[in-house]
Amino acid sequence: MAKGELEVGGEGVEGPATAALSLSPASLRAILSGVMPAVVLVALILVVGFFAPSFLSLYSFGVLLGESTIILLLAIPQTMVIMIGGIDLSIASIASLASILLALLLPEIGFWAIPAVLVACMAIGATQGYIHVVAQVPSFVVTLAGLGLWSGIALAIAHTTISVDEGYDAVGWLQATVLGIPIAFFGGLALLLALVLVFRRMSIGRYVLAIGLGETAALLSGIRVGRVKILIFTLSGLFAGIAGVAMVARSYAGNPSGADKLLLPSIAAVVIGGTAITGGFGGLGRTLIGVLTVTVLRVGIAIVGIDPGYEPLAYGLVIIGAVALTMDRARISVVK
Amino acid sequence: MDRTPTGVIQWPSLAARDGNMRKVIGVLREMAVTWGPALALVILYTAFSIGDARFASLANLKTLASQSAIPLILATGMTYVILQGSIDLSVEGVMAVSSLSCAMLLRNSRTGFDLGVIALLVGICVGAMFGTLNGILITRLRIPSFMVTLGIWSVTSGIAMLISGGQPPEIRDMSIRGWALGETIGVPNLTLVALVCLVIGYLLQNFTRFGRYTYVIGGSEEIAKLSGVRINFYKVLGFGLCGLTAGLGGVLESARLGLGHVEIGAQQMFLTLTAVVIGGTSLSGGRGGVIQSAVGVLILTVLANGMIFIGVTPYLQKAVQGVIILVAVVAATWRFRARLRVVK
Amino acid sequence: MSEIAVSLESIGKRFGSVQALRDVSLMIRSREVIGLMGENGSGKSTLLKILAGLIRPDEGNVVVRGRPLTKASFSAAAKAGIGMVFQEQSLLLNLTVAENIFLGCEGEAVRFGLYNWRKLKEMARRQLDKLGCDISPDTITGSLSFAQRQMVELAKVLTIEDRIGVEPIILLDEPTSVLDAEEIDTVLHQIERLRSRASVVIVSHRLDEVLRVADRIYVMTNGQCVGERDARSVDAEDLKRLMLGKHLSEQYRRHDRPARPIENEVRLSLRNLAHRSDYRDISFDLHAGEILGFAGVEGSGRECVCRTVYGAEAPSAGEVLLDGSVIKFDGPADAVKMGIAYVPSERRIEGLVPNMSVRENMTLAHLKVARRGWFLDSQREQKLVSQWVERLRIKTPSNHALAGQLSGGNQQKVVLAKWLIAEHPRLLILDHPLRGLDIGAKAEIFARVRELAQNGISILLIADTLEELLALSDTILVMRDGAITARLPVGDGKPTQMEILENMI
Repeated sequence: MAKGELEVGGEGVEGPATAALSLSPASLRAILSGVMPAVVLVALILVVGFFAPSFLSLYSFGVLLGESTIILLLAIPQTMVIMIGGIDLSIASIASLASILLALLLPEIGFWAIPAVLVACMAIGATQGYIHVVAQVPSFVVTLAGLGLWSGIALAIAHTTISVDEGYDAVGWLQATVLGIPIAFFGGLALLLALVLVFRRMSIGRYVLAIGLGETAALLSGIRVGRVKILIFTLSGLFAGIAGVAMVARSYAGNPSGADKLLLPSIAAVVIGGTAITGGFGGLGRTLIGVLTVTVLRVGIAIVGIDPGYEPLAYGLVIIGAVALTMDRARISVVK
Repeated sequence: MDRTPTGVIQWPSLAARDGNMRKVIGVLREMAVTWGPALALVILYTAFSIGDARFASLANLKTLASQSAIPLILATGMTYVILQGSIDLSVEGVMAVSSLSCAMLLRNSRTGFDLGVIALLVGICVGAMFGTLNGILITRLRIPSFMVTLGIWSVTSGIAMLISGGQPPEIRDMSIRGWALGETIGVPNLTLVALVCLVIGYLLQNFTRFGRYTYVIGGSEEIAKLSGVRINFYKVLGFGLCGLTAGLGGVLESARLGLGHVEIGAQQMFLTLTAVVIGGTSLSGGRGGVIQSAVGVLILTVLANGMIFIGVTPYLQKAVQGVIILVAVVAATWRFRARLRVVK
Repeated sequence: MSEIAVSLESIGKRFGSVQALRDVSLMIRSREVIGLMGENGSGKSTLLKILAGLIRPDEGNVVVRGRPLTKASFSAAAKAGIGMVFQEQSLLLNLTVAENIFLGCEGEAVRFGLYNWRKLKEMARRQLDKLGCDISPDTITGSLSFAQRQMVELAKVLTIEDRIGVEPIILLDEPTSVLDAEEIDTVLHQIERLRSRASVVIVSHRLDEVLRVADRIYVMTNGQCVGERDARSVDAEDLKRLMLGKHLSEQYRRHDRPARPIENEVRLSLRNLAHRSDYRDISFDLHAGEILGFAGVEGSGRECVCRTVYGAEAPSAGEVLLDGSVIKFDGPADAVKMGIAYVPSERRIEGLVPNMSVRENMTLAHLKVARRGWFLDSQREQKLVSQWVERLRIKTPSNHALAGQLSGGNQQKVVLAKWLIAEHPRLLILDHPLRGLDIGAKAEIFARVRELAQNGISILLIADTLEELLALSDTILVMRDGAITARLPVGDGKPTQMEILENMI
């Protein structure tokens, strides 16, 4: 899905001239966003390993991967939404709501709670996508409203965590480990690979790319842009639901604000991976690296024993820095 | 070659000569935008008063005044940012840093400082500083404001956590606490501060170049640029002002609660944003103002307060605000829909 | 005669491979009204923008009162006394009239950043009085009619004379194009009044208006200034002849060919189609294999008609029939499904995705040709794309090269290939297909379009010049102000460009 290089300029009256002039920042950006994420990840692992040698063990890598599962599940759909040039701020709230719904339903209907919750989350995502497309309201507004709505509802349903006891077995298998790594992580990874395959080999991948890189041209080529967008937001809801299921499996409880703190890390993971928020440039493979980086940061801060306040501090700086590096400024004339 | 020059936006061309019907609709829409929120406020207040007599009592009126104080202050600053067509999501984080830096410098349970009013000023300045930083990052790096302020939200709450270190400082400066909880001629002191803020905000908006150019920038950055307006300068000022009000809000909330806390601004960003938008300030900029935002704040305060009277869980407030914000934006922009319009 | 206010000395300007202006020289005396005329794309807008400082010329000088303008910027031009009234207007609708008039140069009305509203309104009143215009300075601009806003624009430009202390040079870009008859009269009246205090350059499509207000008229064709006439003694026929220019190249087939026989089968027919603001009551039939060319100036509504047929605009009344059955499109996707193809004028934004490869662009509209079952078959796609690259002789380093890196002509061929790669479309809409292409590329696209028509594809065409239109079309529909004014079959040297022009302006 990743594109080799982004060409800058173009839209100005003097298209060709500016394109030639800005070739170097473009290729610089390609190099930076192509190799940098992996370099940063390795460097970070080594730094943490230096301060806490025990970190460089198979066991702790297993823990690390388990730790990364939920961020991964949130970052996958976020990548797709950002690829079409939008953003989903509601995704963590939906995951929290899903965990609550699941915690309530598991004792009642057992395994069937899982599909029920996932369908509900898909409906939520589809609704948000539908409003975004039909009312033509920016995705960040729709999903910001969604963030309020879904977390409000989650809090209204359960004022605090609901622990799951009866019926836990239906989700418990996700926490079983293979080679020290929870099955949930393998599940997330499998979903990621499946999506990579779908996006590489099926029409939808082309459409997403075209919408991200040139929505007007995509529209005028007869692509049903609205449908693709709604589909992506529906997937976003589905993945938020899966994240909610994984949360319950992990913590034996549903938490009305359990995932809220993961919104920023999941966005950070996407932009650290090198996906540009202007859309079109980036991909799910990159996001995997971003997710691991963010998780090493989280776990590392805990292991090395630094004040946890540095964690949000780092996310904030990293988001601004990564966006500054990867954004395609030629595509937006006025920055609001 | 025959493209429209950069710096010129397209106004609806032939629409201008359409019949009177369109004009009438335009006037009605204009009136709805201007008077709708105020009318909604009156209706809400009346409805709750009829529903429960205690709602209309003087004591509850005071509660309403007191509850709306901090949101009023925050909304004043946020209005400028939104008038310019940007957005500031960092309010809660900035409030937290201001709250903690102020609390640590007042007489408190953690440090040996006792700086009194100076501590309040430091808290406010910290807020203004982060606001200005928002503005500088947005204009220098040319990154959309929602992304920068999302990042700064995270950064500031991180810094607040570092200062707090898990032990929120209790404020022991009784004169300041007493003032924050006190009243003057029957009006809560914080409400008075909010009113002063509102008046200053109104004067800035209508009688200074900063205020007027805020509307220019929101109206069209391209025309502003063509007219030689220093867009970046006024944007930084706008974000600075928003940070300043967030700082003031954080400081005052701390003084009222007697605590410097990381979560001091919880839910405030959402509340403020909703208030500004339902007041009639459009997210695309250029229309609205601080008075409209104040009406928006009052609507939300009355709604929140009234909901408790009729027995709705306060947890639902955020959900209600979410719905309100969406409905307001959809209603305001519905008529701009077009088949080839690209909205990200 | 009075002194020279501005002179342009052999101005040249290129956009990419297109020479937009070539060695243009003209001068404007003080207190003189100059009319600037020419077909679409003749370079008059570019020239105006150079005068206003919005575009920097590649060659030549703009000399204002004996001093060359060194910096090309809107504010530098304003400092020299040049002000422009834009076609789409540059007023902020959310501000008062007074603020708009003095935006960016409030002078003594703002001290230390503080507004003195009384003073500002007084100053605005003075400007508006110059025009004898009774709009109140504290009205919100958005509540004014379009013509009133045009007055405010004029008042804004007139502030130059107080600020700089010289007579302003006022540039008017199509000041009347969106006004109705009565409003036009008011605006023209104002322009006549301006003569006592300013130099004016007016660009307009409407010959009668220019003849009414101008002292002298310059005519532009193909980026060159081909004539200068005294407005009082000029003959309208002579002006039109000048505007049409001479045939530049032999690439164009002359239209004295015999009329091509057209099949009887009606492919597309529009019945009383109307659009909220852009056109009304449009009816015509398009036969199989026929090329129907639209003539009209900008704002005539012809682009919008084409976009409606393609589903990109919604009609407000009337119906469209494709092969006899009524069609209703919710968007371009429906049109594509019915076999309608569209080559838009904004190639890099609407025609293709510059940051996608040639291959991806070519299959974007009909990905099914590259699919086997559920999956894309990259070998199959590659083969198909290579075939079309060869067939249309597209010069590209490889199929993987980004489409944005190709030359304009090759980009346009990619856009064409995008529509031909599946089964041929029933209807092809070409919106300025030759815009910005060099002569060679034009000829190739030309030949291709004719070939397509011969294969039975019906074509709706909007061209840059009448010459191109006549060379390609079987029938020409002339539009003016959103309505069809003439339907002219092409053949045996008819119609003449003059006949078309008369129905256009």
